[in-house]
Amino acid sequence: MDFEITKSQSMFKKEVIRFAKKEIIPRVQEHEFNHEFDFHAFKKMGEFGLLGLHFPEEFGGGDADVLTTIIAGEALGEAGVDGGLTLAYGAHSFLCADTIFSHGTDTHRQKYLPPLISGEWIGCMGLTEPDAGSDVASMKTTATRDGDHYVLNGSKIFITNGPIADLALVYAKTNPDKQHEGISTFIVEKGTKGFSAGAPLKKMGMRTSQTSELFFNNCRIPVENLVGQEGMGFLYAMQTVEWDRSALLAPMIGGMRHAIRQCSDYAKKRYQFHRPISHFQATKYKLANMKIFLEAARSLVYRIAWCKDQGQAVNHLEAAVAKLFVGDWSLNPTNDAMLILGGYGYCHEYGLEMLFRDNRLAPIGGGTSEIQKKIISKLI
Amino acid sequence: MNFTFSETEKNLFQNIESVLTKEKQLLQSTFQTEKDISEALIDLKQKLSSLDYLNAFNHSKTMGPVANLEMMRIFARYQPSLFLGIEYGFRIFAEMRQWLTESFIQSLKLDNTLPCAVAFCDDLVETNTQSQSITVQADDQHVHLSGQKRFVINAGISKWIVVNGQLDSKNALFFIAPHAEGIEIVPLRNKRIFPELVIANIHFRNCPVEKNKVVCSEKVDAFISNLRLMENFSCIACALGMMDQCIEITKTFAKTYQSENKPLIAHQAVAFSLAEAVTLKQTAELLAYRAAWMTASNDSEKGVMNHCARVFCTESAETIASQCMNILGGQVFVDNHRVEQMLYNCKFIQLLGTSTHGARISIADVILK
Repeated sequence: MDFEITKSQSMFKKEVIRFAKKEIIPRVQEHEFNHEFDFHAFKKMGEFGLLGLHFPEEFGGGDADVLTTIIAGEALGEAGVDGGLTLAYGAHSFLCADTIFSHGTDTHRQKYLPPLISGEWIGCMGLTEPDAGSDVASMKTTATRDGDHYVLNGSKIFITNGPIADLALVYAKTNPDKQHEGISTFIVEKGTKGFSAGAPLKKMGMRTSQTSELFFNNCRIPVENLVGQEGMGFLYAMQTVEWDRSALLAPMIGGMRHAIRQCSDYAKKRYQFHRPISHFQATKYKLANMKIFLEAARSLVYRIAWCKDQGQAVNHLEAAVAKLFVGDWSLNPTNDAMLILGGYGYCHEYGLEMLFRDNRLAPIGGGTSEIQKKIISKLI
Repeated sequence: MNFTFSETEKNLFQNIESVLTKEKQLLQSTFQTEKDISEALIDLKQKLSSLDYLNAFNHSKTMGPVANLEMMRIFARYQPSLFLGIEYGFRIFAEMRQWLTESFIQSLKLDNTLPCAVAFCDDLVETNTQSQSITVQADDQHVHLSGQKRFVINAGISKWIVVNGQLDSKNALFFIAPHAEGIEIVPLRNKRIFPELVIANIHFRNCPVEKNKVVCSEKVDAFISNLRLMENFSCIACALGMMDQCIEITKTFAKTYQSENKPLIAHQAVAFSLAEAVTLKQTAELLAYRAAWMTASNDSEKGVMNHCARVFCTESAETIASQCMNILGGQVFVDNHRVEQMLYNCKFIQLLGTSTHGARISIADVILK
């Protein structure tokens, strides 16, 4: 075994932190407070190369391996980038663009990847429905073949980047009589007749990411917009799971490191009972628990990245373990971080209540903790 | 990065499995006396010697710490008490041999064939790196020890007891034969933890130690600190091995035991509980491997990672044992069930030496530097 991060990965991480501190961090609080998406930061992320880090150079990507991509996500969190922006980045780059890259045609790749990678376009993925969350196979949205077109009808919910997306990767039933095997994947461009997005949903956390419903009302799209093969949509969606459970978790891990630094700085300066609170064992315990969580979670997420880099097939067990651990076990240390700052931790200005709210999504989004337990228990 | 073991390492794991499988009868025995346990340790030590397994954590020629840790875990899975007996009796002693001079080893005839006991902590839980409970008085030829060391593993069955104390305000090691004058060893026989592990309290009453059996140099501090690292890895491996066994026993039970006309594992609460246990186990093992790898790489964070792994692994083992007991139900309280035993054992390895409390404080101190 070897857990070494190469020098170039290490240097790149520092570069990303520097970039984020300059181009993103100064506006995080304001955007978070106003529930606004930071278009400027997103565009800058595209220019820096983050949005297409793991895609081939021919599409404008960085040709990086998965581990480097994960490290970049971790660096964003470590710099203090809010969960909303990293979630938007994940939905855009991994759930949407990566599926187009992996299963789309050459035409799809040539047409859609360059604007997605540069940040000129924003992508989203439409899978979840009001009555089909964890139970994907019960989705109601249909895609009916009509000559050279598919006609989409139905709706999606909780779609990250929904209201701001230029392109939606939509999952719909081409054969409603079938379960998973009846699901197919389609590209729907903004402005297509019959396609609309709802107003942004007001959420507890991840406030800078824009989340909404998507509506399809006799929305006609050309057959060329089918991604991959009919009936393979569920498989494609499941393949994004590896990204969901590595790249999307990485910023949370970086976020914990950011919180440790913030809490440690605060604890050394904050005096109570004539001494810094860092001298109290209760504070030390909280800091230690945060560090233990950070290191434990990091190993799991790196392992998924490594598996992907080895070209291994979907690692259901490892991915579910990582998602379950980060999702469920992150809540206590996140709470601890907020508690170290006491009343200040509860105030928006210090950013830790944002981390607390953002991390509450971890056991819900991208497959609930219950679904992870179901997967793990089946596999053992 | 590489998250897999090499073929050579996998062969080593197979080799230790094969040695331990052959010794299944010995490993499943209930021992009546300390002498029986001593003989079992010596026997096992001989069998394991061919594997390079005991050649100290950092000094093996055939494997690195990560593979060594995995071998330790395999052993702990078979028999956690004898595993700890071997760890404290031989591996830590082997580590000590690397550090002692050859002339010292020869003068004491430290031949590594009989188990050794290291009495470094004053009590089960170490709260101070400098021994407070042993007083040392020197005359021309001897130093005289008074005081006590509690919860010393292998005391009573060892050839040598290595005691840590303060000489001229410096950490020193005293090599004492167990039958020396002024020593009383009181075995803890009715303990609820690690039944096949000999643990005793040692009382020193003006116990004379020849000066040529005393090591007092600046290296002692470094050695003690390294020893704590080793001790933590022993506890980590023990925790991992016990987790494996708890989950295996419980999984088998949950698949075969019928409740409401279906196997227990078909009930969601049981399946989910096992899923949580597997998640903790996988997380713990990766953290432990990374900590071992950092030790091998002499990483600047190796100490912190070692503590993180110690806390996470030993506490997760307790959580898993407790969850497994919930699944096993009433049968766990019958006939000294192994999972019930593991619950007690987990608490012991949380406390032994640098306790999880001490480890947390150390982690935080590094963060706050």
